[in-house]
Amino acid sequence: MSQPQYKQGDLVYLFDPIKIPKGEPLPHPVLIISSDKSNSHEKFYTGLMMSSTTHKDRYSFDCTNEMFESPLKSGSQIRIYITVSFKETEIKNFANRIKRVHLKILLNQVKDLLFSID
Amino acid sequence: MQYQSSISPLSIHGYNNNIILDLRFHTLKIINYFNLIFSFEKIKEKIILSIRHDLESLFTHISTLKLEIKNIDNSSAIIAYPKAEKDLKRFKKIYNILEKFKFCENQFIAEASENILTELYAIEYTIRLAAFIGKNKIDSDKELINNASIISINSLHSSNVPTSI
Repeated sequence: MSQPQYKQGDLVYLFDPIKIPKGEPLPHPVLIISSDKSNSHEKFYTGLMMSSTTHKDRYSFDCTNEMFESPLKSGSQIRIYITVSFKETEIKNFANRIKRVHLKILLNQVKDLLFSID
Repeated sequence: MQYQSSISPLSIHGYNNNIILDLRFHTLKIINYFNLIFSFEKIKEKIILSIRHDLESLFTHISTLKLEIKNIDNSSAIIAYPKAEKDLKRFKKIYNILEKFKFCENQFIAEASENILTELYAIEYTIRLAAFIGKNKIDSDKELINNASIISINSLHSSNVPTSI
């Protein structure tokens, strides 16, 4: 099993922009949240969409420059409910990387907001 | 730092220590810049001790605040959210400075600052969930606009203030 090229916490762009349920394409970057162990299996990733919208709701995880290795667009946020799964071949390029301390907190919020039992 | 909760308004005066923290980090930076760490070893130790103390008291205040906002209601959360957001943003910057400084190579500072960051994230998250029920829209700039209005009224020259006829 070869090592995946991208790691958990990497912000990447996809060749085919992700689409909202209505079908409209969203050319936004995606933050890889699946673990490296899982990514190495058939090089399949799970990510969350990042947007620079000013809209705020309970699914907004605000992102600032300090949280990443290089600067972001102002007003960037991870949209916690927009998850996307993709293969390594679908990744166009690497854009940035979130620091682990913030990723850990994001993953806890994802677990709580998306995967808790109602 | 003040959040209005359903229980009672809570005031965290110690949070202003962040300004002092900022200042101390800058002092440490300057000491490093001039490569004078060894000759200023005692000053450095003193600053590190003060940072430890500040972080410790900040953590205590934030833990209390976290308990206070646990059951915050929607209307209080709408008021508190912009403040919680700003506090988190502010500490992220401080955490970043500490991180660049390798947490002064002090285990306590590393752990305490991560704990504070985690707690501030938790506070922002709790308030966010309580605030955005349904389609509530929060004007994050409301506080800023209010303050700007006060400043601009205060900045009026006395001769510009309308007098009673």
